[in-house]
Amino acid sequence: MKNNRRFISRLDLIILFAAIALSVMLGLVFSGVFSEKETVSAVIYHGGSVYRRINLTGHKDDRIKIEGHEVLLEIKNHRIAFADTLCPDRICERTGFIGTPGQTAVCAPNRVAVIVISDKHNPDKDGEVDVIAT
Amino acid sequence: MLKKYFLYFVLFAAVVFSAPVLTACTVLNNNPEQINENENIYKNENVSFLMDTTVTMTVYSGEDETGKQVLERVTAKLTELQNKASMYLPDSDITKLNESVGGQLHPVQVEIHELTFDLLSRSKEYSEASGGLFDVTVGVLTDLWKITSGDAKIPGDGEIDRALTQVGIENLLLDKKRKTAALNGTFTKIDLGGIAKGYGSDLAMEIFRESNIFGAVLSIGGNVTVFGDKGGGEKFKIGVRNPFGGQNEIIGTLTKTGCITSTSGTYERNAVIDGKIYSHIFDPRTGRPAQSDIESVTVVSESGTYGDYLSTALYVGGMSKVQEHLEFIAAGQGTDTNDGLICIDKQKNVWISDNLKQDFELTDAAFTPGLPGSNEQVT
Ligand SMILES: [Zn+2]
Repeated sequence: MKNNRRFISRLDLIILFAAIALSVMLGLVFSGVFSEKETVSAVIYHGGSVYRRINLTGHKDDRIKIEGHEVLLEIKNHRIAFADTLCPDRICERTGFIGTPGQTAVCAPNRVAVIVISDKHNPDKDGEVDVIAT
Repeated sequence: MLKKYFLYFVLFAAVVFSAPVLTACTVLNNNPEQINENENIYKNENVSFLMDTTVTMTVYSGEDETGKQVLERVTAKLTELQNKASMYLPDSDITKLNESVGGQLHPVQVEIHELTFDLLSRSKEYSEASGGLFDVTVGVLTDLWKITSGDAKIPGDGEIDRALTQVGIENLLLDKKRKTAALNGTFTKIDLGGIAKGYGSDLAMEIFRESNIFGAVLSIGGNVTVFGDKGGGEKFKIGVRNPFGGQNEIIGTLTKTGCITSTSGTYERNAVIDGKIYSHIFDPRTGRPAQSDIESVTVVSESGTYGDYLSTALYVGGMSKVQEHLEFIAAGQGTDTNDGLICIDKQKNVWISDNLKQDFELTDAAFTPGLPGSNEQVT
């Protein structure tokens, strides 16, 4: 039989492609492409260094006090805001809740900044910017 | 035959179990610092409070250490600028210069550091070229109105007239050879608020350019510097702030690099007195906060110092000056720093210079692109 003498038969090819397809699928699942929700974190900076990093996606409603300062942050529905600060301008509180990557809230008098970042490297997501010119 | 199926099994198993690991690594990497293992792209970021504002910076580099060093170098440079040019720090060149006036018969020469001298020279040059729209000697007005300090008040006409006698760039005397400056007035005061952030951006850009990095993005209180890209060709996206909305709302995005943005708007650092909004930007001609028909104007330039000056001058000059400048750019008469501008008027029209139209995308439907001639119909 001529077919049997071929180095790679049609069946071999089908199995090979099936294996590659399955492996790529597994790879994508592991890397999280198919997971619906991206996880978002809030990075709290105090005086220029990272004070705390909070995974907003997995965090329950909460209140966070910055040690040594009259600054209270509030987490509600996976978003974060300055809740109560003893600062002269209160610009921080007026910013309101933030939860989309790229958004920031700052309390300059207390030197506290909150920046929302995506935990996943997601290049072309709509509406996400690297910085805001203001 | 059995041997052959065993081979199939081994092949199948090998492919299924080895490839997912590779796929996962190439597609995404959840490590926030090293974003791409195969190409070695490291992302380093920091936040600092400098020059009376918030400074955020992100550097993308092929080596982790390089990125960290660039963050440190830029932060150190901006700290140096702040310490030398702030009008609020007791030992700065500007404070010494401002305190040199009062009671003296002749202007007192004050020694100025090279960095501050360069900034003062540029400031004088632009103030002279602005046709009265920009002047760094408005410091006396800043003190009189106290717009940004929290206890703003409307001064009397007499007080404003008296302050105006001190405003005028001819009152700033610079000696290039000796690197000294003097103020020719009885209480003249320098305020570099309209230009210092842009100058700081230029200093940062210089460091980015000479460093071995993929790219960087810096914001000095909203003055944005973009250099290179995020590595692997992924471009930076700059959001343009919605001047009618909150701090994080944008009207569109600008995809551009190798440039610095400077924005002047009513919404930033204003004061509300008796229900009326007063801008922190002064009109040097009237001695009063500028009453602009512009909501915000962003200048995009290869020179941050020039861009910062121009955005301030255009804000004071209003829509007529903006229209003039748009035509100027359209005619190819721009400066060698390739300046472009995005201006939002009170009617939510967005005016964009021809050289930025390809890079800008309007994303908020509440805003409409400005059409030539439509500005006159509104008024
Ligand atoms: Zn605050």
